[in-house]
Amino acid sequence: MTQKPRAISYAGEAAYFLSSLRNLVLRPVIFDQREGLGSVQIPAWIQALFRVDDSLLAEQFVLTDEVVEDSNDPSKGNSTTGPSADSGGADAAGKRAAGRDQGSGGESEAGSPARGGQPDARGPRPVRPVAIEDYVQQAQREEDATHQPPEQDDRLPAELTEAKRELSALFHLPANKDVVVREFVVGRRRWPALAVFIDGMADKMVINTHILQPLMFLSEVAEDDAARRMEPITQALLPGNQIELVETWQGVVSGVVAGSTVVFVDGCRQAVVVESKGWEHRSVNLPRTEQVVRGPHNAFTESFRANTGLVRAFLRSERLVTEILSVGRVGKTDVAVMYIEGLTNKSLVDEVKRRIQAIDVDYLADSGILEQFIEDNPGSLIPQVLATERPDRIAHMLSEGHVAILVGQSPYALAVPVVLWTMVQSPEDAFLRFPFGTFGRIIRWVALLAAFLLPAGYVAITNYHSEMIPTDLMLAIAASRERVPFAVIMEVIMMEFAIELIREAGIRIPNAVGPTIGIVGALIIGQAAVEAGLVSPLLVIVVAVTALCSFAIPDYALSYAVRILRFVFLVCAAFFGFYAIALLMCMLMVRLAVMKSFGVPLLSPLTPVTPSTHDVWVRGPVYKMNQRPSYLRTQTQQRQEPITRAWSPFTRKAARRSLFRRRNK
Amino acid sequence: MANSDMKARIGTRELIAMMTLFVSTDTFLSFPQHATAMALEAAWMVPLLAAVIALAIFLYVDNMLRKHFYGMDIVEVTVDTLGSVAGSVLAVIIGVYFLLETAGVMRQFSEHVTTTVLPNTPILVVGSMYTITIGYIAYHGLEGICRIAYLLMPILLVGAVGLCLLTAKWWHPLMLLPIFGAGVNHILFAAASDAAVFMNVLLLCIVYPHAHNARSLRRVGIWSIVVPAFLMAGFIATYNMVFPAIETQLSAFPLFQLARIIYLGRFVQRMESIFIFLWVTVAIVRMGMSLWAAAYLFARGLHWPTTRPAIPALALLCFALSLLPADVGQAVNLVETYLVACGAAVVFGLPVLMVTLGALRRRGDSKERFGRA
Repeated sequence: MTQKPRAISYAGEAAYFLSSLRNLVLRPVIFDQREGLGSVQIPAWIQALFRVDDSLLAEQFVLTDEVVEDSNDPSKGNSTTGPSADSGGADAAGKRAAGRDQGSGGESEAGSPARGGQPDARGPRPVRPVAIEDYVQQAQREEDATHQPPEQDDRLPAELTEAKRELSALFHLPANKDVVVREFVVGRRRWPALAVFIDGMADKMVINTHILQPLMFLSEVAEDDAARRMEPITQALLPGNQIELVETWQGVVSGVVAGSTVVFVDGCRQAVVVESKGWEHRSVNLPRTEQVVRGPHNAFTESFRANTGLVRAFLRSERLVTEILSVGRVGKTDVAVMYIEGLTNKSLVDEVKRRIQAIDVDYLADSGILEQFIEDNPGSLIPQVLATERPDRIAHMLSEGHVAILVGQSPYALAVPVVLWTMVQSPEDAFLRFPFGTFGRIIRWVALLAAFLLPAGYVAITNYHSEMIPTDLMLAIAASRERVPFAVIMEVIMMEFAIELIREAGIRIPNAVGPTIGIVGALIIGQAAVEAGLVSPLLVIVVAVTALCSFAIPDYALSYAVRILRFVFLVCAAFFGFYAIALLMCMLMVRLAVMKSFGVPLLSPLTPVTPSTHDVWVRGPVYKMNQRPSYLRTQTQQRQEPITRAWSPFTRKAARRSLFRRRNK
Repeated sequence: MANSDMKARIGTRELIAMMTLFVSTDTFLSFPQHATAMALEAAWMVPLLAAVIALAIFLYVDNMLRKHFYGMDIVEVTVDTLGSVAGSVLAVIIGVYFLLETAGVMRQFSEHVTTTVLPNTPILVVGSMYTITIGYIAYHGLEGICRIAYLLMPILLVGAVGLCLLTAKWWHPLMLLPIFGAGVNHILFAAASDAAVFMNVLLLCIVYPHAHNARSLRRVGIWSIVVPAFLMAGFIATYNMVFPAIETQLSAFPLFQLARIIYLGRFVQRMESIFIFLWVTVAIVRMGMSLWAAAYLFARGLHWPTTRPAIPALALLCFALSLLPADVGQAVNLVETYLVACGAAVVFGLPVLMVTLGALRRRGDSKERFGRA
């Protein structure tokens, strides 16, 4: 916008002034930012604060049990009740989400009326302004898409020499030594054939005994028609339990890189993908971060199928569905979405799949990376997805109505949606009798509070509110601090830093010396710091208790959040005492109160208040936990019969009373 | 008004908690002092009688809304009755009232912080921290405020009741005599002039469409008037049992004064610092709510598409307004004179006037239609 006014007149000057003002105010919002604003640069966060942003007007995904008929699915008919009725909700959620994608210049533009797609059945969608930069990028993408060279023929050739040439090009042979192409002849009729697999990923025993041996030595094929050679091979000669006929190079490549062996036979336009996965992986082992005294002791491992199998072993249900999606452009990673058909809210399943399918990356290494792509507020310290290495926990959460996500070779599974209380619960709570589970939870809640408030409270009390300490204790603190040449906040930060250092180093140090170094380091640093007069003995106790409390938090991600928040509270307490702590607590609480995990408020069922069994602060008796968490909006609410211990007069009466009250409500 | 915040749906319990906290905040401000100054030993009766007045007005307004304007708030009623311009004017007037009220509360609480907790910190710093926090909270919308209120509700109840009980050692019930204090006339006058502390009546008329269940609004109104009334009465009675009425009318911060005298042995003493969490958090909810209400009403009156961009500016305006009085005495005087005593006209007068006018007009319309038929 470097245009100059052509004529010197009042009207022209006024128009130029207004135009400049408009540019100054609106350019950061709707004009190309590459042009710059000269000397005036408004920080993005101020712009975001004062701008009427479209995202403020957009609907966030909310998990509901609204029923909208899905006319595309004949299996559901016109029924609007019962378990299948929620499918429409999913559809509606998907449509809403697709709408959001369109607005944000995403790639899912199929339904956009502007692009020639079908108009929205609910009427015209409001036109939302698109930033020039986004518009240019979108146009560029469209142009690139239209000028792409026509795709090569993806179909497999009939000639083996041609297939071999294509394979060499695809897998960069002979430079790529991992890919093995084994040529052989089938049976006495000596049909030329070849097998392709990746050394190290495929099981050699399976290849030798279940593929090469039957094809080379045990075959007696009468069929002479080249086009029909695959039929006897797949039906009689390959004893592998999983085989698949593919006709495209894409299928071949997917099979080979997944560890299968692909067999080509001369004259056939098809290839057989024989399942022969057999790479080395850690066997199922003890959990490393979620250990329990009572309960199962196995954890997920670095094998995708072993992990899904572990979940199935715990939850043997024909209604347990495992949908496998593929993420990644350079390298494909399998992502399993597990849920229970007829129980889990369908809009939740659809939302999970929608978010996973929207990931467009070269390579998805781990569930931790997927988590960052799919969570609602990735910038928040508080996790919104539960990562666990325990298959029993995943099985239990699936039975409650959550959706589980397993990623490639990651030994951690994700469960969504999650509420804050789940992250302070341990699987052991359910395996122990309810008084013990409740006691454990109370201890953990106290630990959580202490973990991020104890050092801040110590600093605030010693600096600003010393009158509340009993005189003897105050004198003891004063005496212990007599030799210390630093302010309290410096002491605490130094010690906290030392503890964080020990914790971080403890993870990296080799296992053999790790615990020793940790303990010795902590003792030496603590004792030496006190003797050197750098910190007071009382502070060492405070920091040690804080560290213990933070280790008592069961969720690793939440523990990290608490560690970071502790420093924020610490600094604020040093400046303004309890006043700043109270203000920060309010800010943290309101943030938590509006946060959602896959449409479920993070503080459910406490607020917003939803009916719930006693499984939030304390662990209720298992025979009274008859209903699933209502915030999950499951298709069936009842988890067990209202009277589960009919033989017991003690619990029978209580259950009847509870049932009577509920019916009266 | 496509903003998701404009379409927030709040559960009954959260609304009760928010309204209760909103009204109860006055317990920690100058209300006990003002009530004692007018009714002396009978000050504890003032909130109860004021609650009766507020309850009667609320039930009338709620009844009219249910009967004639189901699901409509007070602004919509005005638009329906007197046209959109009148609706806008009403929204702006009430918005300004909430803005001034936020500024008054902010000044009083900032003064409390500087006199009790952080005596060496300038009020500018304390006030700006309040401003940032309430701006942040109001920015998260009605749902966030109501949910945080629900979480803080137990703290308020346990804290207020605990504070009263922990001072039991110093109770002198005879100090509540004579039972009618300065006299029945004074009590009634005090109740009438202080009834505006039950600002939840006005607030309920505004958040009416946001209730998850509009039918439960009557329950919300009754609970949020009755609970704070008993809380205030209990607190003032305790206060006057510990300190004589002649002295309590001079104290600007009764909560702090009560908490200071707690002594249950060497290990439970001087608890005033613990109660900082109570009054600071409650004040934050109160100010956050009134700031949100101001922004919401301005958005309604001036037809803004959303409230959020206005909240930082309004928070800053509240802070600036809070600094206008020369000292805390002047601030308290301004609040009591204009926002509480004259505020009854806004808090009760406008809703009553609008629903009555609207009901009369609708009745007239129906009679006219009936006559034509």
